[in-house]
Amino acid sequence: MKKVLLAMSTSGYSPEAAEYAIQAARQQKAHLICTYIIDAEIPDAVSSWLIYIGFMGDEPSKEYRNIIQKEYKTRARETLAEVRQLAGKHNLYMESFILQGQLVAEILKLAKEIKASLIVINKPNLANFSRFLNGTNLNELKKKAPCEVKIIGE
Amino acid sequence: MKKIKKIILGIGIILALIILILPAPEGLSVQAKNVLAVFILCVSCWMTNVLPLSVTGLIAIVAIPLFRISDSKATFAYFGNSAVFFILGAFILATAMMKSGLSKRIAFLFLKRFDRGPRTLSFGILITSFLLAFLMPEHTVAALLFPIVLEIANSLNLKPLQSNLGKGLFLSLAWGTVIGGVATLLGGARNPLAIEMLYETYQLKITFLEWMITVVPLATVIMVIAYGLLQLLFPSERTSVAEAQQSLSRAVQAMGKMSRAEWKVAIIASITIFAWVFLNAHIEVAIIALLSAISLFIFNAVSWKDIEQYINWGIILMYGGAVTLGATLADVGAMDWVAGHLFNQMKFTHFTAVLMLSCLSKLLTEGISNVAAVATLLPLGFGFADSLGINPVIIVYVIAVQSGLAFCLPIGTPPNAIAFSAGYYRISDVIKGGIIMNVVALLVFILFFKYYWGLIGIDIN
Repeated sequence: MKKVLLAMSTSGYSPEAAEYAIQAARQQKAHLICTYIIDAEIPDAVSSWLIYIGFMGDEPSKEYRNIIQKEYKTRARETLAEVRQLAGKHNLYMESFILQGQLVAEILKLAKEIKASLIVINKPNLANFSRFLNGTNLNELKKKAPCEVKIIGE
Repeated sequence: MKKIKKIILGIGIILALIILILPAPEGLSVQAKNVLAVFILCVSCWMTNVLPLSVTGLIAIVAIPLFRISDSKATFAYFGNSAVFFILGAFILATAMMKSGLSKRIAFLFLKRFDRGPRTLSFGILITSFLLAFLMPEHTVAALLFPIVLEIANSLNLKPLQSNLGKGLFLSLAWGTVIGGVATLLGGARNPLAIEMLYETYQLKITFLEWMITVVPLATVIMVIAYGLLQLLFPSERTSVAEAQQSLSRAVQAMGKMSRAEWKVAIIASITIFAWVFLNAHIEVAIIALLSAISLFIFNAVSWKDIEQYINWGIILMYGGAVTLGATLADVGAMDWVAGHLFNQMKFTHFTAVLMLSCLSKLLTEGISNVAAVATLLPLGFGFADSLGINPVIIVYVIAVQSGLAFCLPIGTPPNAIAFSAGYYRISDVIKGGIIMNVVALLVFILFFKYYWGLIGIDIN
């Protein structure tokens, strides 16, 4: 059975992307698999700035990371619940995962693992910042993905 | 590493090697030529962050005696400058304020007074971060207030990227700390660094009080404009902040009465600040800072383990290296030569020179650490001052203050990055407001330079 992967992250989510993935899953009679990736790039970069530019010790940097990760996890759970409700309205079963790591790498890993037929992702709002920090962007996802990638808002 | 960073680093290394290999041009000593090569290498490392800032500071300290620019005794002597010890003492005091919970209490008690509506709440966050950055490094203030603002946003159920109030609250946090950070010598370590570089180069001093008299009115005006701009750009979608009121009340109640440790830190901090402001003409700020740090240990208000956990000691290497490099550049006359050759062809008035240095500082600080911006631009600014006959004290204010005022990019300063990481606003939101704030800050600065500084006795010549 085909699998539509809806990828969301701390860098962005839009109901349009969820709607698109749900419709695609219905049309293709596919499973809907939702993942929310807690993007580690931003807290990592900020905490390393605190240490190397802000000259703060490990403790405040660790405190910051704990706070932001807790916040991101809460948002992940809330967003997945929102999408599950939306899928439920269309009588569509949805599987969900919360992952943590680098956005593109995590999507690619999961897409290969579940043999996704389509990846739907919203254009990340923090993409420019992320790219500025680590040189990653969605072009990499498009290039390396094992299936079609639909970027909403592009 | 990003391509642009590789290019900058590559150009820096090649240029440094070429300068080292080529014979010294007329009017420039071999030592001056070699220190310029070291300067270019360090600047390219500071700009690209290819090495931690502190390790680049070490490069300066090693390269100066290695290339026979100055002997090792003189080089290491600069390393023990008073700015380093002032910053250390100030950081220890900030750690004690954080660890004892005093800074959090101050923040909550302040914010509690501004929880009547969305506008006052936004102003409360702006002024709390602004005033706390008078007392503590701006990065520490941003990290301290971040969970509080996040809690307020959550209690109000503000949606990230959608809520105007959410955008306004987090930008208030970022901008308040950034603006407050320029007002005293405690908000940003770049300020004492700039003062020390002035002293090592010209034997001129700026006291704690003189700095405040010069910069606090300017920072206050910019802060008020920032508040107005945030209200204009992000008008709140809510009329009540009752949930935030409850959340702040709960937090204040949970803190209970002031602990003994808080009292001890409060008393020592008050005496220290009093001494910095009123006794600096008689006692060096670094001595006061160290006395304060020693008192904190004597009265058991902080432990050495806390200090190790809260301070990155690399700061000593970064500041030591920057002051050593700046002072050596001045000693061997390298920057006078550069400024003479670069700027003599251009007809700069004092006003256009200040304007140009302000713009340069602003541009640089949006892309690199503001400490690195000061370490890079100040030696050049001093050379500029010498060739045009500008008072170098003016140059210190121009470069240190403008380098602190980075409003646009999250990469500019850690407070911007911390606030941005909450995910409540887009880059485009902050760029729109940030560009306006950068222009405003520049205009206000120019107005103060032209009409206020003369009144308080800062002569341009």
